[in-house]
Amino acid sequence: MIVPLLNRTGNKYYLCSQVLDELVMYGMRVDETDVPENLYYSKEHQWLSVEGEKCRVGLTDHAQKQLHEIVYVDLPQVGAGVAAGQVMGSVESVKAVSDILSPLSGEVLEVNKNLQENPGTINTSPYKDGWVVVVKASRLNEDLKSLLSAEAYCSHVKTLLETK
Amino acid sequence: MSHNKIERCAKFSPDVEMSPADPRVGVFICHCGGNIGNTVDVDRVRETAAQLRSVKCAETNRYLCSSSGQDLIRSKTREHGLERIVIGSCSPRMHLKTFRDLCSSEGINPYLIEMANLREQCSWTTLDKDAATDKAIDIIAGAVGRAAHLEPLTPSEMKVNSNVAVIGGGVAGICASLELANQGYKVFLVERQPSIGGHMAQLSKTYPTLDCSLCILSPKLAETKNHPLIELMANTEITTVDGSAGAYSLTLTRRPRYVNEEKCTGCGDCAKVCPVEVPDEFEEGTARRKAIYLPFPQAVPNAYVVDEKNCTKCWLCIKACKHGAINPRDQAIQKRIEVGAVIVATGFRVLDPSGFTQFGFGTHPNIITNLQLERLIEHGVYRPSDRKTPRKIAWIQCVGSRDSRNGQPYCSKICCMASVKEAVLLKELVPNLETWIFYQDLRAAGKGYEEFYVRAMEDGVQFVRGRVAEVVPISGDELLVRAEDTLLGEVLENNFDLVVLCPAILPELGIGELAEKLGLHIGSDGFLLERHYKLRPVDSQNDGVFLSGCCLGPKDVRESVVEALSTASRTASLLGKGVVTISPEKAYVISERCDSCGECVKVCPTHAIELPQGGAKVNSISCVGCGLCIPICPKDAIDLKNSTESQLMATIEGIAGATAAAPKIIAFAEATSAYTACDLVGLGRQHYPTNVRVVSVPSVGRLHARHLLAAFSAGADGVIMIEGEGTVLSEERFRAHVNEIRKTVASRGVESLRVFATRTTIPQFAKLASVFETFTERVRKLGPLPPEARSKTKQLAVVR
Repeated sequence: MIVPLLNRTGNKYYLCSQVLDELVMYGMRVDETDVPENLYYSKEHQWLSVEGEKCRVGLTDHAQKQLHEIVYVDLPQVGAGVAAGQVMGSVESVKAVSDILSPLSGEVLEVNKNLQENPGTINTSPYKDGWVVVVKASRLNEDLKSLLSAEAYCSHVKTLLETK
Repeated sequence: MSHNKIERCAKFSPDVEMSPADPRVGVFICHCGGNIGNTVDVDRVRETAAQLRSVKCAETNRYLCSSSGQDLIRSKTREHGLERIVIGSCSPRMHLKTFRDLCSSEGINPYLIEMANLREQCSWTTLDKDAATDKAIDIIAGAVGRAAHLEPLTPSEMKVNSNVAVIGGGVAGICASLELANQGYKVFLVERQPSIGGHMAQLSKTYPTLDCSLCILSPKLAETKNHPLIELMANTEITTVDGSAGAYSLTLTRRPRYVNEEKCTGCGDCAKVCPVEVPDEFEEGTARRKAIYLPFPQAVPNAYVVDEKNCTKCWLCIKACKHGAINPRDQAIQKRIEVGAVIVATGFRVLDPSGFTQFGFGTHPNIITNLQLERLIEHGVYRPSDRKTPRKIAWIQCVGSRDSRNGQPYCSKICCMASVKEAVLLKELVPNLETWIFYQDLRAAGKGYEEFYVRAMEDGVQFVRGRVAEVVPISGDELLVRAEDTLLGEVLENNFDLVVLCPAILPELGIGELAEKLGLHIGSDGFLLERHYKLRPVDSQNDGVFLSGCCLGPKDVRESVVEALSTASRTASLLGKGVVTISPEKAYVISERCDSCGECVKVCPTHAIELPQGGAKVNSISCVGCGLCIPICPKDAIDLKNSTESQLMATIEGIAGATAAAPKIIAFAEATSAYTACDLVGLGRQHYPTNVRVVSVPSVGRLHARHLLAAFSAGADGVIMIEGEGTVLSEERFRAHVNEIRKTVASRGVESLRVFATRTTIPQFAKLASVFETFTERVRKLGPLPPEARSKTKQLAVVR
């Protein structure tokens, strides 16, 4: 992968991936995080898309990048009740384990069974094929109030990265 | 901490019929200098321990492993007539043997001591003194509970088979075979390729001495072939492996060669008439060969071979062969060999650099790998585009190595010196040749290596510190190399007519399947894992299997030979005694309860259980002591020595019940990989919540829901189960087992979120700190287990 970057004098530099690694190591951020506009976000890095009565929930691109290669996903049972801010499952990567907190209250209608066979789908397609559950919301309007917009989530992630 | 809890723990007796007469237990707690003493209030632990049931004396010492510490244990043992000893100190992985030997010398059976891990899994994981002390008390209470149920055990001995199988016939496998055969051991040398010799046979010269590679290797090849104690099996692979150290049984499959090795004289008449031409693997594609071919002129066995994949079966070769050596009806042959030990020397393969498109491999004939260059040097140096002598050559280091983004994070180690050697050689061969080496860091650590590097600089080899951004074919034979010179801080563009890539060294294909068959572990870099990185560098995780050469990681010829000779020595010290000791920690059947249902036979991963008339029987040689058979038995008719039902229950009751921690979390860790990983977290002084207490189990598969319920009933608010990666418990069975346990536990009113299961490898130990933190946080949110649920769990936990 060659990424063109500009140095101070404006000459074009071609840097190979190894140089990028070093830049990241020295604290420069070259990675970009994908944060789609039309979704709601929780501070705990779950996204939520409202599809009528149903809400689809997944992990953000930032979350999957922090976790690295995801190897196992523990999903809730269909029919289980979930409450905003409560644990509903977990994701496990080769390096870490993270709980999935439900961004809303309601009842689990569907779980992404594909993740049991291919947990890495969260890495490759966090906002599409890597969705985690579909929940029938019980108090959506209140729950949405405590969620972030794409813009607010971006600045939340930025703060996290800066304080790290 | 509450005194009541101690009382309750002390009164606990999980299984009256199996409970031994109250034995006399002594508890000894080590300060380990300040390692334990600075974080754990050792005196408070001693005072509490002294009140536990069966404890007749509780003592502390600065260093229990020292001779004065051992003297204290001796004198107290005599004074109080102790029958069981609990040592609160470092991990049993560190000093179990020391204290077992001490017990033996005092006439106490070595299996009657129990170690409580107060250092790696307690004092080194926190700075909170109070919490660490409470945790230490719990760990001691668990150990004391278990100690009361310990039984004397005696290891048995088995005669060993003194034959050895060596897998891989490269320089490491050859040297190991010769060394062992010269000591009088019969060796089966198994090679997948049609000839032994490996990658070393492909090299031109070796650094830093510039010895001709084949000149030093081919005498070894011939010696191997002619040695009366070496049976050379080329074109052969391992199919199955059974048995254990001292008595392995291997099934080998020899692929058909279609040429009789005895009759073939190597004249080559067959190849002359063969109509099929394909790229030659030995020449790394720089030349072509026929479908019937000799791998290389000095090949051993020196016989032609038919390449099954490319042969069109025209059999023109049959007529051409004057010796009648060609056999079109040759078939794969299965062979079984019995050996006492196995040496793995499967070597490496070179990364295909075409994935790194910036270097243009495959887009221009003058972009080659360094292994291809080695072959070109042998054939007279030329650039592949027009076969003319090159004038200016560039070497590019670290193609896919030291590149955690797109390649391997590790250093492939041999490329720097190999490139320097090639540059020096070519400068001698080609007058006025310009040689440029683009490197990240030039690594020349080794005897005579730095001197060789200095010589190269004096010879006029150009060294550029910088990463190459891209290689672009420009016109005809010319290639543009664009790089960043990091010393000068500027972009450098230069034309070359030969570009040599140094791709990463990877483990040989099929290493995963072989590791599975032999019970070996693979590290995060993909190479095999040694038992101990520094002190047992050629031992595998499996007794009786030793590792040498590049299957462990990239290394050069000299280092491979050093390891080969080490494995020969390790093998000889295993087989030389004539007997091996077999651990007594095996499953056993309580025959009056067994109703011959056969569930245990189905679940046993090593086929160690048979079902003759009158109940199941365990073969103690094949049994690996994993305990998978225990939870599956509907009659509770099978148990495991040194991890018996009563011992495990007593540990759980003690560790979960002695003190209060909010929330209290019990982590069951599989004894080999997972427990070691837990130790490594402490060894790295990585802190995690003190709420977590680790209990060692032979395998998560040994656990039944009743053990978790016992933990909840005694005071736990959450349970973690950790299994090592690559153990006898397959991923599928592990997840199914865990789900089964969760269901049962949930039916007793404990939310399934209070049970967590994960797997880890030893090198990924840092993940466990994340597991402990995340799970503690989760249980904290869930709050303490409600009292109704706790009392409900009690009912099932006691039922046996």
